[in-house]
Amino acid sequence: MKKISSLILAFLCIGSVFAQVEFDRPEAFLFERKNLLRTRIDSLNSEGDTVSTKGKQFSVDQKTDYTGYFSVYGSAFVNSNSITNAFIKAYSYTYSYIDDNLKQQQVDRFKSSNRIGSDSKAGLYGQYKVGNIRIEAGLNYRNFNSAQFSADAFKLVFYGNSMYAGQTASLTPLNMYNLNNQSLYVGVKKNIGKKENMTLGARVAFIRGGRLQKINSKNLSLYTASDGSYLTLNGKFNIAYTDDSTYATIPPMHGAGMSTDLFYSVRDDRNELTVELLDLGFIRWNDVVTYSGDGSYTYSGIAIDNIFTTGSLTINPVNLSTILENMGINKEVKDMTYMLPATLNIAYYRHLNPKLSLSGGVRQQFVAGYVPRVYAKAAYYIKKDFVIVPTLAYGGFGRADVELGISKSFADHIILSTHLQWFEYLAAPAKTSGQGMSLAFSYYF
Amino acid sequence: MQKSYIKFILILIIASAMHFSCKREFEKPRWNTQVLAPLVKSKLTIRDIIADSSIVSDQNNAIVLVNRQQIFEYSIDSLVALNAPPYKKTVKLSSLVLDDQEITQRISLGTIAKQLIAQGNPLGAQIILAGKLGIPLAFPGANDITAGPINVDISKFFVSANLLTGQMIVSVNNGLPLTINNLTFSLNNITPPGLITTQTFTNIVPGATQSKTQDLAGKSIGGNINANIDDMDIGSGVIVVDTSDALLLTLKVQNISVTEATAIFPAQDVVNETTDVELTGLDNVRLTSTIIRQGTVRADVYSTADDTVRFTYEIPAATNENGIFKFDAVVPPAPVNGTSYAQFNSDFSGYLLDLTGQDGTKYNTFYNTLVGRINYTGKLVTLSLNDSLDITLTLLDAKPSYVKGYLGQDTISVGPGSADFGAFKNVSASSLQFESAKMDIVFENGLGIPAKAVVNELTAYNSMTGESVALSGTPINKEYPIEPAFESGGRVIPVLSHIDLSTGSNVASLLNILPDKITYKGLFDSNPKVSLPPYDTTYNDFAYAGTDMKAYLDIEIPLTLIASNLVLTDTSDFDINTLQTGGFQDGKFNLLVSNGFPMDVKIVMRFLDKNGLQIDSLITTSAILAATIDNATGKVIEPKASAVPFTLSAAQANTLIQNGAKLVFTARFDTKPANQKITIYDNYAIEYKLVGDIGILVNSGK
Repeated sequence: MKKISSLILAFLCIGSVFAQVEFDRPEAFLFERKNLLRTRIDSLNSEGDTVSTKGKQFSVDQKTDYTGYFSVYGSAFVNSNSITNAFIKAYSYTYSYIDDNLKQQQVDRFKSSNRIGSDSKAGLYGQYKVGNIRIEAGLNYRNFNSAQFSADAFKLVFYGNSMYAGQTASLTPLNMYNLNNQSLYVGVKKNIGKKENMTLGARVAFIRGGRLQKINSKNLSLYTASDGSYLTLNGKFNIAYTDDSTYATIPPMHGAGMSTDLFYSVRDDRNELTVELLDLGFIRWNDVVTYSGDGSYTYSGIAIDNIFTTGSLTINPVNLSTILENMGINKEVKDMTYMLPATLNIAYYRHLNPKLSLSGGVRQQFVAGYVPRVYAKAAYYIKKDFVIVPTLAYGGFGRADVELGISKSFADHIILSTHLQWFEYLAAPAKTSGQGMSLAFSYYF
Repeated sequence: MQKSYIKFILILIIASAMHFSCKREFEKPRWNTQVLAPLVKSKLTIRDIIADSSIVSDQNNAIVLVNRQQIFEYSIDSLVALNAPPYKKTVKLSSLVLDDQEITQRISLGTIAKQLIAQGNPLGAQIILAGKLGIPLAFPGANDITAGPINVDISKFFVSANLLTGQMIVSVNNGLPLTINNLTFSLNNITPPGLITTQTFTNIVPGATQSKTQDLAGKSIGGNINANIDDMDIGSGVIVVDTSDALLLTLKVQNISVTEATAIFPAQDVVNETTDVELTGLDNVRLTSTIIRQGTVRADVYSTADDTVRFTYEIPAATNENGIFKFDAVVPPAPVNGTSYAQFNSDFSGYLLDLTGQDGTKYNTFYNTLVGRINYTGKLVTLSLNDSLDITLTLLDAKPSYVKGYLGQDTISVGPGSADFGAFKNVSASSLQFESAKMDIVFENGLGIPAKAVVNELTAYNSMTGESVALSGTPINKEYPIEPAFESGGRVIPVLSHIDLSTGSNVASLLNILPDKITYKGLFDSNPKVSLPPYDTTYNDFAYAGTDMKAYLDIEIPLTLIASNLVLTDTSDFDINTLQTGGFQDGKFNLLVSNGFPMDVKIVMRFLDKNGLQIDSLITTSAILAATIDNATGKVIEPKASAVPFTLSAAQANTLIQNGAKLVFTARFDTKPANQKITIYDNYAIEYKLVGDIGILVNSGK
């Protein structure tokens, strides 16, 4: 119980706003994109705006006018097109022993190119109206992981290379981008146009880089000699990481950067089209450990002095660094600049009737392995202050996903919402991929 | 309805949260992998196996073991010690001289007249009156005139003197106008009273001078003397009396040497001696010259002289670029009735010392000169021929940098001694046959002395097996000449002489037992041909410091051999960290060997704990095969690859990690083909690589 409450508290109290994908939050359907349609009215009693469609006429409520807005948000999602939820649980949550059955479960699902990604965020966000513009600011914590890998790469890691004696393990594709950063941002949002039906927004964020791990490769393979006398790595690759002796949730600062978010939407009483470009920026990392290669590199053992000249036989630990250096791949420590994994969201909303709104969109994250994620949502208003948003999606790091968003407002100022992606995990963890959830607390005045 | 929805949502949230809070099994997820990879590799060449020796390649790149040990040394300090007896000399003042002095005393006519008046002689008044009147006076002549005493002061030259030699010349110049028919005068010493001299002059005409010489030897003279006219007879004549006319009495002392005097002494040498000094303790060594490498001349001086004595010590036989060896010293005056002392040190290094004596015919001898001198000070001092300088001159800690002459004959026993031979350290064999071996004793003679050497015994020992083999054959008890070095332009050119111990001997059998020690015993004779007198009269032997005679035992063993069960053993510390980290579970290992030696190899590795007890072992069941050789050239044409498998369980690894401290590595070699000698070339090597097929538990926490 203690763990559950602390976990919930953590989600609610850490970090910065996930308002970067603000239209993806369930609470949006009770706030910025609230369905304002009301039931068909008697034409003699109509007041205010009305809309009609296919012979039906609805009145439109006044849009909520607010001066300020405050939100606390946390989310964590992981998805893959091959790695199962059972594996993810054993690897990431319960730290279990990963047995051969669990490994084979993954192998059976592998494609030519496999991907997995996770994104954990938490934050604080605030917005205040000044004149006809809204000024916003917030703090954000993010832990982003993505990987694209081959079946052989997984097998090398989890089975070892002994099974590849005399063979070449194909490591193509092999890409990884793990990022931990914290940011402080400010922005403005303004309605424009004659009818003020368009909104433009922009933010600038100042980023503190915490941890970086990056692998890029091309045509990479590993040959293991049949007698194990040598290993040959072929291909082109770059490995870069910040070197921390211990893993920390908030690592020491290893770099700084900036990014910008851009937002545009156009709407009327029933429709809205939004376009959002997020995390367009970079981080300049300090003292990044890098290994680079383009060619063929052979490791044939660590040379030691013979015991007759030194009087001792010492075999020191053989690890990745010693192997790479023995192959002639020298470590360099230098400052590097990397672009952030930017995201493009395009979404369309339509309020069909006072009870139902539909939304569809596509999301693309510019990182290796990510495929465009298309989704469809149906926001059903159980009451005007209580909405559930079932979602069907396909793509991103995973395949098909079923999700559910829930949002409820209280006392016209508070909104609680959550977005759940547990159904596949609960239904068939060994056969499905993708899980996560978000929580948000918002207050407007 | 709404409440039902809320309850459902809460259940979902709680169920989801519980998912995060699932109990963790470990600190990190774990899984087993099987890793096949090479771990370590190394290479063993002949240069790694053979220790403590030089390995060289001949023109064919074949390996030759070369070992050199110094077994004997003979140096200049062994030959010669420069010991000179202290030169003691008590030197009395050999002479004391005084300057010649001249004193003039004027006795006027007026003075004589007054003397006559005082004596009641009326002639005196007549002379005075005549003088006043200035008129001619018929002088009738006067007899028995006396005058004095008239004081003569010579104290500014000496206060007193006991004369050893000297003369006084008394001159009388007649300044009177009449002939002095007779003049007798005397000189008397006041203190001590005594007659110095009395002289009679006759018939001194006016204006004439007569002189008489008085020998003063043995007389004592004070600073004041009295002159007396004991009798003077003046002739007659008509004269114009001038009372200022006078007799001029001149006293001149000359050639004065004293036995003692209180006087103002002129500058003079008081000591001047040249003597020979002979070096001692040289036995039959006869040196004609030497260059002093280090040394000090010290003078200890005692003086009774009342005056400062400056003395100069010279060794004319000792020269450097600045001239002869010389030092000046000042001995302070002695206190009254006392003795003064002074010590002087002078660096003697760098001098070439001629040891042939003053006449150049001697040896081991140099001459020196001592000169003592007093300076003119203008002050009265008391000196006596009894005063002395007591001088002791000592040559301290003298060592030569070069000697020349006849360096004597010496017979020295060499040994019994031993030399460690480490080339076969950790090596043993059941059977070993070197095709050949060469053993020499090489004399590097940097001394200009001929010599001879005899090897009485030479034995090889293997302390591990207890075997020993003594050298026998021609080289034993045979005299071998050792030629002398040359010198040219101040440089020595050493000469090498060899004693060949290989020809006509069993030297190969000494080395076949793989010795770790060689003992030796012999004799060394310097100047062997010239023994008893008349010695070598050419005196051409020489020796330089720093250039000695050394003898070396040289061994050369071409590595062409037949070996059976040649065992190489080494014990080393053992540390396998790599198995302690990384979750090692178990492993199959292969020791991949590429054998470039034409010898089969079997390996045994025994792992010992800190108490020396065996805890595990690895034994190759089959041999690592010899490399293939070309029968025509005898060279390896292709290494042979072999694999030695072994397994290691987690328990075994844990035992090795926890308790393993030492590794005893044993390799057994057998040359192939058997009974055919093979040659080891410089490029032969065994390359080995340890490959592991290892089960690893990832994130084991170890």
